[in-house]
Amino acid sequence: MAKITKGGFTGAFSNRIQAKNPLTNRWVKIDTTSGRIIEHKSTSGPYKYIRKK
Amino acid sequence: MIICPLNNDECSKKVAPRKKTAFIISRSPKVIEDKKLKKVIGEVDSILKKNGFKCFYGADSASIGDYFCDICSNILSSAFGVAFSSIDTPILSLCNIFMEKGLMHGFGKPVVLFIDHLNNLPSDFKREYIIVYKDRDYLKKFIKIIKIFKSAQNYYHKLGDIALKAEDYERAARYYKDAYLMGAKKTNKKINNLIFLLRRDNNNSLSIKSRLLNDLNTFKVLSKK
Repeated sequence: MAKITKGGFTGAFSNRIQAKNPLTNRWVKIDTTSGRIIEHKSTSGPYKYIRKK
Repeated sequence: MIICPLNNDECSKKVAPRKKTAFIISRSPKVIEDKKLKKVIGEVDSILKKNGFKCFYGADSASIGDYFCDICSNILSSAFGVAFSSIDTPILSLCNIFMEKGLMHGFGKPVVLFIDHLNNLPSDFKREYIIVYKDRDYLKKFIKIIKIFKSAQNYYHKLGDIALKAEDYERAARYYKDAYLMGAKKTNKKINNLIFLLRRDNNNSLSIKSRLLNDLNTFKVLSKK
């Protein structure tokens, strides 16, 4: 579970996962509790602090 | 749920999914005068076949009368589309091409658009899979896009698995169907597992459960045809 520390976050968010959409070549953030895509990354590269599927 | 523009009501047609099928949006190759475009359509056809995809020409389903329903169901049963347009395409055909392209987008299916010159590209389509067929490397670009489409099956499986874990069976079914159309191999197993879980599920209401089960069983039966 991610925790807020002085330097920012430590650990990863437990209820989020990210996967790369090959059609757009961008990473998408998915809520594992609902199974929904919650965000598309507008820039290249993965999200920080989120596990990769 | 799809609202049909022909009767402004829910579509009740059962569409047979066709694995690895590309919907070709163009005028019938017989009536195209542009030799270069004709050649490109032939090359695209052979590349798709080499990669294991079948081609379904929208112009083939055109018959006398209103054939919108046929076009729409063929779009629904395909994995992706390939559209062709040029400055020489008559305005009435262009309207049909972009209408069909728009339908494909509405159903969440990617479309590759072949165009003669970037200046002839409508502004709404600038951020998509565009190939200028008068460029030298247009076939290389197309092969690259086909590879991307092929890799999308794993992505759809991943999303389906996440949705399944979250017990959102409707979403999982949608992603598994998309993966199947793109040519994924283990989709039948995943759909069988989904049906098994749905039968045991007590969280969803009976109507949602029976609708989903009916939908998935129809998909299974029609996909075997």
